[in-house]
Amino acid sequence: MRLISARLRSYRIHRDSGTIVFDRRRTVISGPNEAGKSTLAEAVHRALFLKAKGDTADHRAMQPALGGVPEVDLTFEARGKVWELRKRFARNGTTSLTTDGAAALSGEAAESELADLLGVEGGLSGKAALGQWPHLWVWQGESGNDPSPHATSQHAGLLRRLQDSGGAAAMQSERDSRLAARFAAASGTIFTLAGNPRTDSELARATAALTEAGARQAAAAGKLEANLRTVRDFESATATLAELGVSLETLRRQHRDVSARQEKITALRQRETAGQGRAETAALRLTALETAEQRILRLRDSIQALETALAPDHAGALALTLAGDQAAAHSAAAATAHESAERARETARQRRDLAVAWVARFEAGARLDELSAGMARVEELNAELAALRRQSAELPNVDAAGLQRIQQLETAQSSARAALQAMATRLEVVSADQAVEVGGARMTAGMHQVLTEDTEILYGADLKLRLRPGGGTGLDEARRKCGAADAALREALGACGLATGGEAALAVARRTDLAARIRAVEAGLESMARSVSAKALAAAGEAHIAARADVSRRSGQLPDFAAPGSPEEATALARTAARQLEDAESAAQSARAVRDAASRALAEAVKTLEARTRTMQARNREISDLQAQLRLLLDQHGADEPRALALARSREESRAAAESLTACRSELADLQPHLAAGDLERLSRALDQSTARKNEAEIRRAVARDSLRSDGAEDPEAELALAAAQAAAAAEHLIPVRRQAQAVRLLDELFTAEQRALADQFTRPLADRISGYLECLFGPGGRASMMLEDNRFTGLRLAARPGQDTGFLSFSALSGGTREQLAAAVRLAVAEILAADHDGCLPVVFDDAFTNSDPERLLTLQRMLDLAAGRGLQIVVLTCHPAAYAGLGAAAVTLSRGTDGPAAESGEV
Amino acid sequence: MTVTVRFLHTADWQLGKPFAGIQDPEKRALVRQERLAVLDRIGQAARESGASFIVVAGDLFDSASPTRSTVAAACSAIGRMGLPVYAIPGNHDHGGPGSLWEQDFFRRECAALAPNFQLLLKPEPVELPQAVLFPCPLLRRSESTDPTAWLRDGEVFAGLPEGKPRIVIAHGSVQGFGSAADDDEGETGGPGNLLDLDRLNPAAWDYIALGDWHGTKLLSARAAYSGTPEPDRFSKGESNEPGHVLAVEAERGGPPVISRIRTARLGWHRAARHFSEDAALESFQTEIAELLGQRGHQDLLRLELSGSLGLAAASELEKMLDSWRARLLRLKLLDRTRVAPGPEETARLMSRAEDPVTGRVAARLAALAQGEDENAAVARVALRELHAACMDG
Repeated sequence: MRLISARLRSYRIHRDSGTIVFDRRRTVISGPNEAGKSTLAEAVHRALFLKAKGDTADHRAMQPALGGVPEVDLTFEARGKVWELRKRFARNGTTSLTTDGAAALSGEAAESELADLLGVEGGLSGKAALGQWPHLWVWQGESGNDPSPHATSQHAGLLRRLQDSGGAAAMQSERDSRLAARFAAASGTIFTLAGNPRTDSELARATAALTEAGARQAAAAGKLEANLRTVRDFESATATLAELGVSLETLRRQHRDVSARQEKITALRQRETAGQGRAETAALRLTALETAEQRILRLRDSIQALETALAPDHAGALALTLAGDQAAAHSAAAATAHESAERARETARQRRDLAVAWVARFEAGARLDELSAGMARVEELNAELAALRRQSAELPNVDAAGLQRIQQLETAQSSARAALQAMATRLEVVSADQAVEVGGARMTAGMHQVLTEDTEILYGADLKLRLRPGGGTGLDEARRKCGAADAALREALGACGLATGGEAALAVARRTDLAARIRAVEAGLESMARSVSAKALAAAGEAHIAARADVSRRSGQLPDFAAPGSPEEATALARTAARQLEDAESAAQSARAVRDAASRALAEAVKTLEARTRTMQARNREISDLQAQLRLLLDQHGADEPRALALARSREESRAAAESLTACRSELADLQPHLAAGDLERLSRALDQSTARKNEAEIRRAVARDSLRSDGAEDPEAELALAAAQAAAAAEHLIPVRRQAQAVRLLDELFTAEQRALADQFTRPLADRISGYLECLFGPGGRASMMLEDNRFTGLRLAARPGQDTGFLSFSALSGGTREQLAAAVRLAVAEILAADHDGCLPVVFDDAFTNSDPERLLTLQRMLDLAAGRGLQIVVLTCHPAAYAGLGAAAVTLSRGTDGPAAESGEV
Repeated sequence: MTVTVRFLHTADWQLGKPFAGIQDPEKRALVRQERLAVLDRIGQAARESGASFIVVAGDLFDSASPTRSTVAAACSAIGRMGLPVYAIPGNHDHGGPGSLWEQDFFRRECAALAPNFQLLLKPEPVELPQAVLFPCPLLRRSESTDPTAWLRDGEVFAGLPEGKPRIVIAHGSVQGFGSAADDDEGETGGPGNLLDLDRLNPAAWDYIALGDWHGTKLLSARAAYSGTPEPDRFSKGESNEPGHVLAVEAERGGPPVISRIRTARLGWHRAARHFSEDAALESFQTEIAELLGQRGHQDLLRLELSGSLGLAAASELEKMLDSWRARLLRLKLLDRTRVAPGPEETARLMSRAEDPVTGRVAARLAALAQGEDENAAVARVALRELHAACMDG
């Protein structure tokens, strides 16, 4: 089927489109918006599939705004003929269909024939009409939709053609579907989606039964094993008891032997202790006797030696007594001489001291007099100084600097006055008969006044003169300076309380003089202050009183001393007394040396005599002590003969006791007492341990026996046998159940796989055609795939990476541009397959279908469209941008907006 | 004076055996009950054979701690025998610590119901009016030493009457004969309990009554295993003939006269069949029918199947098995038969042109089903399921 031309009248915005001719292969219809491109596509589609007669929404939608009945004339090829179709769409619309060599058809006959030519149900309306050939008409805005449902809507013809092109591929039968569903359902009742058995399935029950039976078997085996362990425990305890029965008897015998030996050792040790006591007592007694004997002998020897040594000491002591007496007499004489010399020396000293006191008394009186005179002079100077300072204070308060400043001001004043005088007017009243009043001041004759400013002069009652001193501004300046100089001088003098500069100069001269005098007095005072003061005067007074008292006191000790009359006498007397003192001291020192020598000789003699006396006394005491000891010993131990007998008896007793002890120890060593204790402890310990083990084994055996004593309620061995048999039966049961379940799952899997394989085989021609178009877009390896599920096309996908059959992307996951390109490829492929039923050609209309494709991709799209045209399809593209399809080499139809509606114009694109 | 004595030799009653392999509780109870019922038949045989007493060579009970119910029933049955019963403990009911022989309950029941029962727990001669017994009791499940070793000492026999026959009673294995060698249920007697009868002085004894081996077996002219009086397992080998007691007539110094008395009632059968074609199923059914006759609830069958069967034949076999399961006290089935659609069935499944997916699935399953591993077995089941589903339409 191929479109040849179309003409629209009163169809929406088209009043008369004129004849629009379609190229047999490629047509690009362009025009601006509102040129009526989509309306053209719609009108051609409605002419083919919508009944002319009707008043549906579709009929009303095609009504023109300016009135009239919509008409479409369509010329097309079908079944080798050219057909002319005319439809007037209205409630009473008409249809006519004519072709060469046949009678013209109209009305329902025409509609029916048209439907037959197009291979659709005749006389459609509403959605059914609009839905026809959806894969061939790509409406504006729908280019990016998945075209798979469209393929399904054409599946009758498509499937037939695919089956033809798929070779041996066959459709699954209803039985196939039913069996597949049956096994899928059966598998679903057994297994979850994750592949695990469902809990309510026979497989799960059989598996659970096996698990439970296994657990019961394990429990029964555990119980039996516990019994066996108990039996082993019982036998072990029995064996232990048998073994212990023998070893315990042996141990007890050994223990008895060692105990007897231990008792013997204990007895011997007691004997040893007693024998040792006896031997020690005898030895002690012997030692005591021997010691006493030796002491008696030693005492006798000592007394004898002391008495022999004491005889020479008596003679020596007598000689020493005599020498001592002589030394004592000599010492007493020397002491008397020394005392006399000392008295003479004391008297000489007192005399010298008195003479010296007199000298001091005279000196203290002279000093006191000197200081009293000094103090009077100081008082005079202080009075003078106070007077001078008072005079100075009474002078005006001006110093040399102040005087200098006043003098400078006076000079300035004189200069200013001189300048003023030079410029001022001197008014002198030489004579006047009437009163003269100048500047308000009365002047009499002889008075003069210097006028430095405008001054009115009244003379009498009638004459009034105004005198204006000359000089202009210079007079004013002189007058101002003079005033300022006066003021400054007055201020300076006023500050000092002076009236004139002369006073100031006088005051400064007097101040200078007074200052010089004050400094002289202060220097005198300062000089005297170093030697004269009230304190020094008081001290001198006190020293004088003390010197007088000292003289008085000393004079009392020497009544015969002649007091000197002057200081010089006193000094001479002092020198004489000093010489006499030196002589007396020398004599006293000699007498003291003699006395000391005699004293030392006496002390030495006394000391020697005392030492000799002490030695003799000590020896006498020693002899007495020794004699006392000797008497005591003899009293204790008797005289020499009985003492000798007792000593011999004691020696014999000691020897016998030692021999008895040695014998006892030898017997004890033979019994090895150090090992016996260890043996006894070891055997006691072994007996305890063995007894404990025996008790433990008896308990163990009793417990085991009690545990093994069955109550007859159950037979563990039979229980285990039953549990094992049940486990085996459960395992045996599980095998066919599991096999059955796996078989069902295998069937489900195989049916699913075979269905998919068959569908793949079936859809491969379509997929291959789609891929052929995709290669135009995406280059070699551009592949797509589709699935056929329940005889419906689905699962359109695009290879993620060209040339690979893995990693397909679903349609919805693609970008908008890629979606419309893939959809176009699918439409072309479907059209190509279906074209076999339409003389190898079908029109494919793209109305603004590639709005999302970039310019570069549009170039390759043209290649795809051209391929489709080359394969026999009629490609009609409606676009606002004809330049984008310049590479297609298509016939161009341009629609333009005119006053009479859009108008067509043909050409080449 | 020489004394001749007639007595009955039996062993391995194994009362209280659980028969856990029988899943049906009622059938299990029937088999257990039969072990008690045989005691009455033993008593009858003893009386009919003129026996003076009965010797039980161990394993009266299946375990050393049977339930009170089992003990009471056993005492009652022994009491009904009406003549002295002398027994030793075997490895199953050994006389170890806590064994039933020590239990007060057993003693009370025995005194009340079976005063004729005497358990010989000590290895020492027991002189009876007609004979001297030499018991070799097992006092633990597994004795590491020969229980008959005490008889190697000549002093044991000193002072015993010369005219009375001497009967040794022992329980254990002799040269490969023993309970462990005859068991396909996984039971083991454990190591030990080996009897070396060659080391005994042949002149010192006249008959050795043995227990442990469940088949009836004459070891020599003077030594025999009586076997269990009622079979309790699918015994191996043709020569293994359980289900008897031995009537023995013995005298001192002479060979005993031993005769076998059948006591068994239940039939324990073994059968095997390899299927190489579906048609063999019919002959197999005939064979089993002849084996079982018209009996019901009296037989146990261990059936070992191998080979392969088609789906239809397999379905038929399953029906036969269902029938036998009902009739038999136990059907122990070791089924290694490969059940899968036959070549024709498989070909029909694979060539379903109208159902292309089903055909392709069948082809893949047929390929997977080749082999002996678990995956192949699963594939065969799947093929069977697919076949059945297709048959359902």
